[in-house]
Amino acid sequence: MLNELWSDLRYRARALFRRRAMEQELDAELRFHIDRQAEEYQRAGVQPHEALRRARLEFGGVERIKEESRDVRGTSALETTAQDVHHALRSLRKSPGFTLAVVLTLALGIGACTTIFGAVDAVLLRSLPFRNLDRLLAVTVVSDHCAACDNSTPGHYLALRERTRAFASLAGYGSWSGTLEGPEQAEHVDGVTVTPNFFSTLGLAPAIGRMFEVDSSSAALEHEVLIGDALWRRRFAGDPNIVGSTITLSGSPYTVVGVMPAGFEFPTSNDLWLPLTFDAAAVNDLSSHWLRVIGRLAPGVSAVQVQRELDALSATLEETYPDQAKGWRIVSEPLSDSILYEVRPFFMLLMGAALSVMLIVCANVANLLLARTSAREREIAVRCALGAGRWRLARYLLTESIVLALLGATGGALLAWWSVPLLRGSIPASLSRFVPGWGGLAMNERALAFSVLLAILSAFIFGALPALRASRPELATSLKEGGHGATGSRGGRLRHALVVTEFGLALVLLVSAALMIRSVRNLLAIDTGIRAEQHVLTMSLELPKNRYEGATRAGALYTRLRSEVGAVPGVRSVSAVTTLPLSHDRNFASFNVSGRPPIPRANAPTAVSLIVMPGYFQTFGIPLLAGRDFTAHDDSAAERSSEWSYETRCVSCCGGRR
Amino acid sequence: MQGDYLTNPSLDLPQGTVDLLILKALSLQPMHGWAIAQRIHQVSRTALEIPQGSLYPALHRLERRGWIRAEWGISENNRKAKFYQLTRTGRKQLVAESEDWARLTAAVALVLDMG
Repeated sequence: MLNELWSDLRYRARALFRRRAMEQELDAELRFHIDRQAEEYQRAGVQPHEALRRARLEFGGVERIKEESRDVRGTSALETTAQDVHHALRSLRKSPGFTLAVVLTLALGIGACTTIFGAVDAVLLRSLPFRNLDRLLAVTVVSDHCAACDNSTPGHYLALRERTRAFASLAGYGSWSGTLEGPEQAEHVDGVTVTPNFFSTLGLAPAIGRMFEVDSSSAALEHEVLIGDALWRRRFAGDPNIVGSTITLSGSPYTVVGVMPAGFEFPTSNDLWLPLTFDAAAVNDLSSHWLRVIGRLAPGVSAVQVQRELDALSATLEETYPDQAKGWRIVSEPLSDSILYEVRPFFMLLMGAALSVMLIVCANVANLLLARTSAREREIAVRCALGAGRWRLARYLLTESIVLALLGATGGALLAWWSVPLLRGSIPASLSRFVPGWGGLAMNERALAFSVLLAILSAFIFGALPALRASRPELATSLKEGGHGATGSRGGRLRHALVVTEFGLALVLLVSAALMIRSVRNLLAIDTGIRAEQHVLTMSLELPKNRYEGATRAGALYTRLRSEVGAVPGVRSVSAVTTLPLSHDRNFASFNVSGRPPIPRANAPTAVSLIVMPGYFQTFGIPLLAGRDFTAHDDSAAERSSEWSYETRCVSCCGGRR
Repeated sequence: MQGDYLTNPSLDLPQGTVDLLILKALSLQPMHGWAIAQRIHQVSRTALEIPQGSLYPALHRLERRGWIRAEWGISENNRKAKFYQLTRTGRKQLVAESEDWARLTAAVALVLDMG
């Protein structure tokens, strides 16, 4: 069977690429047959001339036999297509205005779709390139008391590892940031602390070097680091011998054990990964909600089984640690959902909009083609008269559409090649690192394949109607009889219908765009409680822990910084805060309201907590509702008792609890 | 020879038997198209005649399937001719098709002898 297939392919390839040689052979073979037969007659006594004549007569139509032999080759369909493409190109060259209009229109549509597809591909399809992604779950600990909390705790994680059997492996990670020092310059780096089995749980290995070893003691792991591809290229010039060398992070030496592959951006794009280990006390810490947990399902375990096991564990933990875990439930969801749920609707919307544009383009092009077909009635009538079948004619017209579409795709791909980097740059780096896969956005072979597929598909959409209409048999007859004009009204109706469709689609797009612009305007108009427009400059600073240990040294530095920056001409106020307002990282703290019965820690209300230096509220223009700002004379005990209110936060949390 | 059929009537070949006859003819030695037609004509005591129109398409079809292989060689009258020979697949195919043919004719004969 395989033999036959191979032989068949070889034969067809030869028929296709050595066509001329094959024709010559066929000719020689048939000529030999006739001559041989004539020779036979001559031997029987017939005159040479007569012998040849008889042999020829007997052999029959040489051309018919040749044609049948050609059919056997299995390449006639291809040859017809080649002929059609040739004709289409010639015919299009004759009407350059029409061709240019159609190709440009198609290029715009295909270019827009390809650009958006590039983003969809990078973010939704390829941002999580993990083995058996559908078996990976995100495990979180949630409570009705804190809607924004979706992290786990060290205690929950360790209990999960110890007491569940639904997972083949469970890994935890948390965010980290610090300073990468060096002889020339120090730079801020973002990283992730990960349990040693993190990479094996995802099913990934470093591009160079090794992962953290699962069996290593925490002391052995403490000073190991895996660096990301971007940092490796930027800071170490892609040095292949980087593994084993020592780098200084926030004042401590770390040994580089490996480099992660390019494009690995989980959970966000990061510079490096550090090992995360837990001390003995962590088992009893079920209230520090900072850890993120992922798990790979054991073979054969279903989502329902997992949740049953998680529910049982939640109940046990609530009983064992009522003050910390009461009311907290462990839940799981597919990792892809937990990572992509925020961005998915956005990109689907964009893709939908781009495809609508493409549909409008198709309607437009169909209209142009219909107009052209009307103008070509005579050519088509001639083809019909010469015996071209309906299917043959439709096929030719479709080929013409596909040629147009592919020309459009070429333009579209060029457009996307220019606009994809533009799109990637449209989100600032500080934000784009939170869009999964954004760094991998590029005009690649997948986007190219998409543009070609889209072109062919749209050729069928915009080419089908004109092709079917033009090849209608009565069209040809009517043309032969009465010249042209007989089909004018019907063609007109069709084109009107297309215009209506186009108009409807455009209206939908316009309304959607208007709604989106309104949403953006509403977002911009939200009162953030901050008056900082254009007048506040920010910078971030990371103090190495081992050199600025304790509050005094760091405090001294910040106090000095504050007074020296404050002395710069034009600076009205200076302050410092742990995390900037509206930034991604937030620290939640639970609290009790004095004068009300205390609530167990597990159920206590929570608020975003910031540690600030004096002048913070003034600098950001946050109005104080009552009391006073901190002063430099408030010590830490006084800070805690200070009565200030940050309007929105307190109203939301206390109002909610009542 | 088509013209001769009034004086020397030859049998109509059922569909598909041309392939079998070609394979059989080639099982003895490599041959060119004319010789194949001659051989079948002679061996069948002039009862069978492969229509000229179907001989060459059939040869090319068999070649495409890989059952026979073609090579240019020198013919018995000292001219360049295209010689066909059986491949290993072709040989297997010949055995299989011969058996099928034997079963078919035996069965048809049984039915015809019935009454």
